[in-house]
Amino acid sequence: MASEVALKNVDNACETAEEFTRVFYKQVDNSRHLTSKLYLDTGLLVWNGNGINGNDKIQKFLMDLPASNHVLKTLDAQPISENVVSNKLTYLIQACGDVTYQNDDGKKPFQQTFLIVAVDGKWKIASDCFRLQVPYNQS
Amino acid sequence: IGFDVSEDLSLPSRQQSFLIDPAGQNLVREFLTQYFAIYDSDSRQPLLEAYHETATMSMAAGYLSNEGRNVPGNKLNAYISNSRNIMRITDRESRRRYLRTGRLQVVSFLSDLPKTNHDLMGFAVDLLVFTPAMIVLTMNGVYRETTSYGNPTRSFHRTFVIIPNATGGFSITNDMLFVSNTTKEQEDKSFSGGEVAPSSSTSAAPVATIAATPSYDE
Repeated sequence: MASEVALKNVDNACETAEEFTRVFYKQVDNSRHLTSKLYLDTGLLVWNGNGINGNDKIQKFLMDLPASNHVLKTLDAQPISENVVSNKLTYLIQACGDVTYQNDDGKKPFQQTFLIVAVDGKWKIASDCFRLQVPYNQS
Repeated sequence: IGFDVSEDLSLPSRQQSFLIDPAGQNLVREFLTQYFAIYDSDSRQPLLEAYHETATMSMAAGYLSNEGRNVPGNKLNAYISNSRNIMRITDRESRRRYLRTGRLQVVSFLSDLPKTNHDLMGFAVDLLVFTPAMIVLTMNGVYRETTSYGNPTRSFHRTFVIIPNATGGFSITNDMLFVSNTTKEQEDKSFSGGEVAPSSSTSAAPVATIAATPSYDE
């Protein structure tokens, strides 16, 4: 029922997600000083509930995190309807796995959701939501 | 002579919720309360109302670790067989098929997942986009399977993309779900805000108070 164009967009979302996460985690783990280039100037990072707006601030925030090693275990991606995002190609990506931080005890499961948008032939992160898999109850 | 590397970095403290716009607080709370009241009820069919006609939904499931994978309560068989983990599902045809498309297909898929009771008070909610055209929110938390043997708890991460609809309400256009086992720490703290009986009525349980002010990095 879905048009061939829509189906191709599904293929493309998946293939872009594979390439994007390969680049993203390599940068975060090995060349973190370059990571903010992957975000829109007005990009948003929400790290365990802490919101950081704009790629300058995101860069500073990331540099203050301990060195990390991410191992991806599951990945999923969907296109967002172009009617919703004013004809900009936008993908929703969900990446889950384990992260190990320097000087920290063992690996921690994490889940991360990205909204990426095509701008002038480059993929940019519009928003990035990172959550460690821990209890969030206030009690 | 040493190197100027920062070795005493620690992880920033975690917050239960983030709101890009405080104006979205009530809407998000109401939406989630209503959604999960139905999701946790005997029938998920009424969720048809919550989805856009052309909505897409996908679910990926993964084990927390290799340990305990064979303990009966840890088995994620009910999810794994439908998991759209594209690291494993590599051919295009299957990737298309595992993406549920259209509200009927979406709700039919959701109806086949195990029955649940979500720990709404323990939800971490992040409102990432809140504009007149589009709302994006993520949830992290745990739920209990209510009719499965041993009533195991599961950990989930979920994202909704929501748009306003013609009748003044809202419709989900994208739904992405990740399901895993709970950690020991999650298990110990689950439902510590009180157990809410699964209800089939609309007198729903409150979602945890979402922080009233956005917490920006200084």
